Amino acid sequence: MKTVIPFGPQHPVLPEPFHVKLHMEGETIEGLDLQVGYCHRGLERIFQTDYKKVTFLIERICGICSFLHTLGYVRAVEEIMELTVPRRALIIRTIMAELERIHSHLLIIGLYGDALGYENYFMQSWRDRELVMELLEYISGNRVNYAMNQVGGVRRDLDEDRVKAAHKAIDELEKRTGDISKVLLNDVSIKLRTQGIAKLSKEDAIALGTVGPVARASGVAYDVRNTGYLIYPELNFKPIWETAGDNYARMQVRIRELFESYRMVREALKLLETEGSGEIMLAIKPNQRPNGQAFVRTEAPRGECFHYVKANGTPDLERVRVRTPTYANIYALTKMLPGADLADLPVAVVTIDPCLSCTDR
Amino acid sequence: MLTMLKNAILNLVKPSATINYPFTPIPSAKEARGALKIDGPLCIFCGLCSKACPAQAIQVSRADKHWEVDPYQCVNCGACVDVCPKKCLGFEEKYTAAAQKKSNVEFNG
Ligand code: SF4
Ligand code: SF4
Repeated sequence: MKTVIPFGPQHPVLPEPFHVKLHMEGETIEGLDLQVGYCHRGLERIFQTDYKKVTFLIERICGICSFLHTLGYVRAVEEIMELTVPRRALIIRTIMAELERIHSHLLIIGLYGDALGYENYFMQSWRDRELVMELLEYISGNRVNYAMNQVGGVRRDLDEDRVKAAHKAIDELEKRTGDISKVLLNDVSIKLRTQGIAKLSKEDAIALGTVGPVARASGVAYDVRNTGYLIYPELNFKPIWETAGDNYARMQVRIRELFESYRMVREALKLLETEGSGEIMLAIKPNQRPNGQAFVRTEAPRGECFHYVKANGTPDLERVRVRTPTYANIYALTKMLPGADLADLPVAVVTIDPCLSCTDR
Repeated sequence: MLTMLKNAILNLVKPSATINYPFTPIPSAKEARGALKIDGPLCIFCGLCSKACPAQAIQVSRADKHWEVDPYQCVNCGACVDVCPKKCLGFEEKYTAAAQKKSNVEFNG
């Protein structure tokens, strides 16, 4: 019997609001209509203000990629103003960006356990995430909106104590992630529920323009960190990818990325120690103002994020445009889900790691 | 199974993981950006902090020698702290506590 089931915007398994109209044949999903836009806040209009204030406003797009939005934005403004950011600031930015990826991935790994009905796993993963959140608070002064970036550099330095605390937290996290990844990758019942389900083929992944772990799990080795911004080339960054394209592979990519991030944070911390203290912020004269436009790509925990900035020589910006990774990834659900059971929907939604507050802004 | 058993036994003997709030205060991180504070006598009422604030939380009046911040509108970014020429702004490590009535923090020179 054919039925149509409305799903969301408010639903217990959805972390954030979006609406899916499911066309069902019995228990099997035949097709779906997707609708986003439930948390539109008009932020892009608010960004048409002083370019220095926008740094603090833009990190409020999303509570999880808050550092990343400021990073993309300041990189765009720095490109317009042709500033060369001090090296120490670049290293600190890399550390922050990777720590943010770690906390975002641990968050979604926990939610994934929850979607599978394994709540204990959710608690374990979020307990471990607390380590990196506390480290971020110690480094930046706040757990979520770090206010670390500003046009021209970063606003806080990492002193010796903080570097030591970061080393300690990363060692502990690596051990604990080893423990939780054993369950996620080897448990038989988890495998039964995730392997071969909600598959996205490589062709579809490319055709739909998916980015981040969703694309990489389908065999598209595409990662913007490869384009060599910040100090990623020095850290020998290699994209991590899988070929299966199912729920299992998408989480496998995230687990493996965690270990890659631990390695990179550690190496970047060593660079900080060996190079000694230095300048972290360029002095910008009050009459130095952005004039022109720039467009940068940054790799968010969820994939490639675009920031476009247009300025006209006054302090107020003319236009800031953001395209977030979830906007590219969420439509992959329309290819992934047909043929799957209704009960697989929550898990599949979680594996694309949707962030609707980014998407709707 | 053995890991679970180990965890269960450990949890029996470990001290409590939660804090007896509000009787024991929550420890705050060093140099956390908790709540904005002003070292009043230093302020010259120049108004730079109010201009830099992205949340429009600070009101300064030079004529009345009056400085005022709405702690519930402030987003604890620290932009005002950076621009203050007298370095009289700073952060307390404790976060703004919950309150029944919203009131601004004021200072008259
Ligand atoms: S910038 Fe500093 S000195 Fe000027 S009004 Fe604000 S607090 Fe006072
Ligand atoms: S900390 Fe930020 S939001 Fe708060 S008063 Fe200062 S500039 Fe405004």
